[in-house]
Amino acid sequence: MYVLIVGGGKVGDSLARTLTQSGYDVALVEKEESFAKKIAENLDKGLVISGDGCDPAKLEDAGITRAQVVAAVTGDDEDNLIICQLARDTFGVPRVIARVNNPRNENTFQKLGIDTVSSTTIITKLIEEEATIGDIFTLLALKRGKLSIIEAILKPKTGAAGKAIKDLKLPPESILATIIRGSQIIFPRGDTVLQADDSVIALSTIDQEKALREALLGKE
Amino acid sequence: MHIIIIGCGRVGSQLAQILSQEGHNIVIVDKNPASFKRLGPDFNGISINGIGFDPDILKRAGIERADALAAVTNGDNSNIMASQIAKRIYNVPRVITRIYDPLRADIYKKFGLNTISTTTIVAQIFRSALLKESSKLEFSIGEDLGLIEYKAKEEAKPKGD
Repeated sequence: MYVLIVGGGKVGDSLARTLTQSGYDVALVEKEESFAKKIAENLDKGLVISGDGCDPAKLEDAGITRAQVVAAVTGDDEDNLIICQLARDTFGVPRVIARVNNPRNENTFQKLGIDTVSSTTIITKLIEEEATIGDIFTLLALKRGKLSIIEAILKPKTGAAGKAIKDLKLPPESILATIIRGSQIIFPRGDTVLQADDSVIALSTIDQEKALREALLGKE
Repeated sequence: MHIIIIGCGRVGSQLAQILSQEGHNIVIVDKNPASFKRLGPDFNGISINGIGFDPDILKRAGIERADALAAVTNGDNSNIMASQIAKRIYNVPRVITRIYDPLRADIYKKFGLNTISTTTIVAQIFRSALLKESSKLEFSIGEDLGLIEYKAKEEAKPKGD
C-alpha cells in the first residue's frame, strides 16, 4: 500500500517511520527543506520531497495519483483541509485523513466531509474518562476516542454481582465481550451469572460508559 | 447588505472602506489587530480580531445573517477554508475568494467557489501594458461575470463604413 504523508513535524516523522517499519510504501512532503533533509536521513526507505504539499504539482511528484491513503498532518489546519480536498476530489485518493490541531475546527472538517484525527480531543476525552469513571479502566480507545474497550472488576453484593446477564440493564450501545474469572475465560451468554471479583471486558460508546458503569458496579 | 470581509490587508481594507461608504454593514476580520489601522478614521463598520475561519469568530461576525463574504487574506488556504464554511455550512448567498495560486484558483472554481486569481489578472494587465499591442485583456470574475478589453484598430472598422 502506498501512503502519502504531508507534513514533516513530529507527527509526520513518526508516522513515516512507523508505516515504513510496518512494510508500507511511504512518501512524505515537507515544506521546510532542513526538516525534509533530516527525515530523509533517518528514514530507511521511502521518498522524501521538500516542497509545499498544497501545491498539486508537488503532490504529483510525490506520486499522489497512485496513493491509497493521504494523511495531512501539518501544523496548519487550513493546509490540512486543502491537502485532503485536493487528494480526494482532484486526484481521487480513496482514503484521506486530516490532523486537526485546533479542536474548534473539527466540526468544520466533518461538515466538509473530511475525516479527522485530533490528538487534543483524544487526550482530553481519555483524561475526562479517567477523572469521572475511576473503577472502570479503558483498555483501548477506538474510533478516535468515541468507542472504547473497558474493563470493570465486580464488587461483592452490588451492581451485577450475583445476577444473570439477561437481567442486567445494559445501555443499548454497549456489549459484554468476555468475563475473566480467575484463570478462566468465559464468553458470556444471557444466562451467565456474574460473580464478585469477575473482570468484565466490555465494548461501549463513550456516551454510555456511565450507564454501563452503573449496571456493572451499581450506583455510587 | 451585511458583508463580511476576511483579511484587512490593502485589498480588504480598501474594499471595507468603499462598501462602508456605500452604506453597507461591514464586519472585517483579521488576525493582526494592527492591520485595522489601514481602515482609517471614517470606517464605521465593525472590526474583529481573530482567525477568519474560526467558527466562533465567524458567528460573532454574523455569518448566519450575512448576505456576502469576501475572503482576501494573503493565505490562499485560509481564504478557501473560510469561503467553504460560509458557502457550504452557512449558505451565505454570495462568497468570493481571492486565490494567488492560479492553479488552485482553477481547481476550486471547479469545486464551486467563486475564485478570483489576482495573480493572473495582474499578469495579463502587465502583459498588455508592456506589449502595447491591440490588447485583449480577458479574465473572469466569479462564475457569471467577466471582463474583456479590446483596443480598436483602424483596419478593424466594419466593412462598408
